[in-house]
Amino acid sequence: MIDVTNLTKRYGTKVAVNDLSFSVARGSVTGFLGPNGSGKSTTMRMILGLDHPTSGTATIGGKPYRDARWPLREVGALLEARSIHPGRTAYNHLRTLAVANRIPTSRVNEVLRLVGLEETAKKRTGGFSLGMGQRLGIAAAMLGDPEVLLFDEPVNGLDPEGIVWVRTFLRSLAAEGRTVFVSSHLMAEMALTADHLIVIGQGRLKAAMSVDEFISTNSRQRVRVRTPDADRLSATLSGEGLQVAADEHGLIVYDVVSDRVGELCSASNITLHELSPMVASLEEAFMELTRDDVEYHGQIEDAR
Amino acid sequence: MTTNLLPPPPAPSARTIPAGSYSLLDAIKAEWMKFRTVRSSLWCLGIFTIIMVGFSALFCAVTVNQWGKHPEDVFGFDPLTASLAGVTMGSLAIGVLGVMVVSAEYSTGSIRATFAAIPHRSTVMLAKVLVLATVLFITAAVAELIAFFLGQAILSTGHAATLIGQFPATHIGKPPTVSLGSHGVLAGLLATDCYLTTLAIVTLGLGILIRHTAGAISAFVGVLFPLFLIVALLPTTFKDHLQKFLPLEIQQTVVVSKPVVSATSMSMWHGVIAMALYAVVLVGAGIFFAVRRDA
Ligand SMILES: Nc1ncnc2c1ncn2[C@@H]1O[C@H](COP(=O)(O)OP(=O)(O)OP(=O)(O)O)[C@@H](O)[C@H]1O
Ligand SMILES: [Mg+2]
Repeated sequence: MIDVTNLTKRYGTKVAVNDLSFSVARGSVTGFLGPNGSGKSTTMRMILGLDHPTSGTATIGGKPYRDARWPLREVGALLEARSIHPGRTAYNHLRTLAVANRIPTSRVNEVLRLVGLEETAKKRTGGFSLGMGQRLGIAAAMLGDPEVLLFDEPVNGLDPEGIVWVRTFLRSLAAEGRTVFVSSHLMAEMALTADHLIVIGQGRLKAAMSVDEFISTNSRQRVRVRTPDADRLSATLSGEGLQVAADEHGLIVYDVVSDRVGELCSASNITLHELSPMVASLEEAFMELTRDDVEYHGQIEDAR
Repeated sequence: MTTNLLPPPPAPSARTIPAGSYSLLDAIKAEWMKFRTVRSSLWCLGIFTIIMVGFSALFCAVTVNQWGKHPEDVFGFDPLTASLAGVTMGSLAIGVLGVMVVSAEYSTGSIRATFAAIPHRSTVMLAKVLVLATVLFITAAVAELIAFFLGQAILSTGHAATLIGQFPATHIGKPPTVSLGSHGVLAGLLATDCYLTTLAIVTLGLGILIRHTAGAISAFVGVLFPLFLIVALLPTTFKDHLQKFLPLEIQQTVVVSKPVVSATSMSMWHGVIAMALYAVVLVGAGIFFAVRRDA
């Protein structure tokens, strides 16, 4: 539904997006991941025709956004930076957008109810908290009841209730057959929300695959073993050329499936108390993949 | 604030996207709604009206008071110009308004929401021009009429006094006044209305080009006032050729009921046309860049 082809964006000498190509399928939630400054927001702005690509194209449903007949009825977007005049009320903000695309005013109340903002609808948005601003942005995206939705970090500033709400909401949109493209910093959140992932680092594509695939390809398989015979098992596994580490709970065997460890134990008559494959978190897999691409490394001062 | 914990999934919508596509008219409706739903625009219009009426009335009152003390002021006195003396200061409020219509959107980021709804930026900008021009044409007309009637009423309160001078007998004692039907009055009022409206569009063009409120207002005030002073300092040969193109100079030939006869200035309607050309050039250049720049 969304097709990005050889998209490049330069700001002066800075290459924000670098020859990026991917597509986003309908009927699923596609997560867009990348470290800070990797070009997610820039890519989304280019898909919406707000920023002009240096080269390459971005289309939605086969055509550039600027050719949409009723843009808000075809594509809904929540952008990263607040795009609301602080002096206008939430209700009037939505109404001006509705009018521009001949969306009935009744729909304004519907989307305000949807995001839980009816009570504050008549207040000017300058006084809104970050979370309320996000909710209003989501309401604006849903205004035209569009098939395609882009959300740039929708849970940014939301409370835990809000985060759960957004997750459920995005899933329900995809379940209705819509195309949902969502960027996030919260990898764990994406694991729960997304079906597919597009990972970028320094503006380049790092991976495009399903969440499960992503995790299994990008993190090392590990198996946890608890046994009263730790020393013997350790020796056996090492003898097989496997890497073993011990921690307070027992042993961790790297790059192996649990079946193999079980078979080796059985062959050597070693009693097992626990044998469990460890599932790598998306967070770990993500960090693994973009390790070399993080632009802004956190620095921990050495206290000594 | 209440929070819907788990919203019912939105009803699978029977999405019927209407035929056709958004039009300039939709953009105009949206711009009009935007215009009237922020306080700053209403403030600017209010302040403009107050300045127009207040300054003009003040000027007329002072005129009545000073009448005859400076014979050179009495000579060539235009009652219409006097009762519209607030135009110069009122222009400032109009300039701020014209700039803000665009710059407020860029500085708050709401321009992205605008362009998301209407991706054709020239349509958006054209709608802004039409809405602002209409609003200003009407507001300026109302403000002018109030200022005019109030000003004439004040001028007519002047009473006979002992005067020294050799000016026409009709001018002795109290300032002359004009009515709507007097020669040149309606034309002067209309030209003034056009001048103020085109001035607003000029500043809107500056807003599109410069995008920052402070920057665009500085450019506007810089064009309107300092440039005037700079040109005034130039050698006469340049000055005579350049001066007449300055908005403030055009204003001198527009806000009148008696045509200004001067070899170095434009006629009333040429002045209005010049202002319109400035507006077209600035808005045109603004749109040219707005379409190409990142929002
Ligand atoms: N208007 C701009 N002018 C100059 N540089 C820009 C501009 N917008 C973005 N950049 C640069 O482009 C790069 C990508 O920025 P972008 O905001 O797209 O990243 P991001 O992935 O959304 O980051 P984050 O996760 O922090 O939101 C950054 O290095 C940023 O500094
Ligand atoms: Mg971003």
